[in-house]
Amino acid sequence: MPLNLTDARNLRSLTLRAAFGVISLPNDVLFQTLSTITSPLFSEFVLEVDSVPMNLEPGNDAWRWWGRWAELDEMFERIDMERGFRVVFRAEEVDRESNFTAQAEGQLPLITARKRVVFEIGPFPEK
Amino acid sequence: MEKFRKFDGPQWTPDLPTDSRSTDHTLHRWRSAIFREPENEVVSHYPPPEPANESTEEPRTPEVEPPPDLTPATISGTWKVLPQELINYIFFMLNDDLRSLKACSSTCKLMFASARRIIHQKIYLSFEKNWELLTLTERRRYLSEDRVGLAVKVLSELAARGVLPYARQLFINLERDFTPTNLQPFNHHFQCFDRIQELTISMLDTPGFLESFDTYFANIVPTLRSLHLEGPTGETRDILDFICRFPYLDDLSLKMSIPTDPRDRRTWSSGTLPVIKCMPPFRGRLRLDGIIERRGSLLQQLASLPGKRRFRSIVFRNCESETEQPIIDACCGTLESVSTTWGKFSKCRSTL
Repeated sequence: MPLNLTDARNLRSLTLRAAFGVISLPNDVLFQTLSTITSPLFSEFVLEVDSVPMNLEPGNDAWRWWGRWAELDEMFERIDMERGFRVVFRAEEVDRESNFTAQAEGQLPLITARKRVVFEIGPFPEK
Repeated sequence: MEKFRKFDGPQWTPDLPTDSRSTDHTLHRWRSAIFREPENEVVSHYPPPEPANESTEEPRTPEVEPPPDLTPATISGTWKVLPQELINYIFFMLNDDLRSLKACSSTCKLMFASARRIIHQKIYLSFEKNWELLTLTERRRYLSEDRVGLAVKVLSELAARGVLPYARQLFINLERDFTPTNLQPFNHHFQCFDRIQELTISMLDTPGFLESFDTYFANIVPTLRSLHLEGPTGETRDILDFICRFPYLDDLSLKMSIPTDPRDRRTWSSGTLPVIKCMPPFRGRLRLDGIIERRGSLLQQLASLPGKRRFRSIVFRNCESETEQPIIDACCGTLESVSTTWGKFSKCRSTL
């Protein structure tokens, strides 16, 4: 069930922590939740991923669980053009960091081109 | 301080020349500012003099200047002459460096006095520390469930060292031993905690402490801004009642154990809201972990309490999205950040 953040008019940041690829939710929940945000201050989306597959090879299905990356990418780009935006990928442990970052950037080519994707590999700041 | 008073040097920061001129000129300006030489003694290089004849290039005659005084400055006195406020500030900057603080505190009395208030601002009342303090006889008594006068003995030890008045953050993890009965023999020490700003209690005996709240927590109420409860016992109504007895709370963290038996899940009809005398302002951060009640949940009741909640940040861990939404709606006016967990909870739920 997606969250409805329509009335949170001062929302600046949304953080989602989820198990990578094994999420048992409809794969457009992420898009639906982000679509409800109407705050003019919203400027950061953080995806904290648990359980990154050890061999995250190209073509891995894990990314598809999140679904609708292209629409998310367009949304992020539009917000960035309006007022600035950044997407943060956090992972505690990644076996092949370069694979992970390359694939994450591959899902979001527009916002990546604007250099607004940040990777933070290491312990989560908040348990 | 007497040495400082005798010092005749400048007590202000002289103005730097703002325009770009020669280094010599800058030195002159500094000298005149520091040694209060008249400004007119400084030879101005700006604007540069017009050359007499542009075609002829005469060598520039360097201006003869006194050699700079390169004598190393002598620092008289030691750090001991610094005002106490400055020393306190220096130690405050070492806040997270316990090793350095301990090293400083064993240097001299003055440093000891400044460092100890930082070292002891966090006090841990833990089962392990308490156990270490018990004698063999006491341990036998403890194991035979005769725990009055033993379960919180660690307070006596801390009081004997005189560190209780310095505490600002108090962490209590005595498992199920933190009860009014066990605390009562040491309550006179517990009342020394009169400046606690952040309180963390594991397995709080909520109904027990509610009955005698003023006896034990009245000293903490005026200063407490942040409350963290982990696995409190009792009904949800009691837990909310306990929370709202701290009228100046900004931050609230609530971690509930996930019951393995579905019959153990707390239920609470909507008609039994506790009587709240003064709703805390709740202007900071709300963290909720492991709250999975379905109907009449703690979250829904928290959201439906009278008064305004102005949380700026909410962290959900292992909560159901249906129970998150009322909290978000209740705080939407001030909410700046939301952090939630998806997926992991789904896995946990499937195992229950």
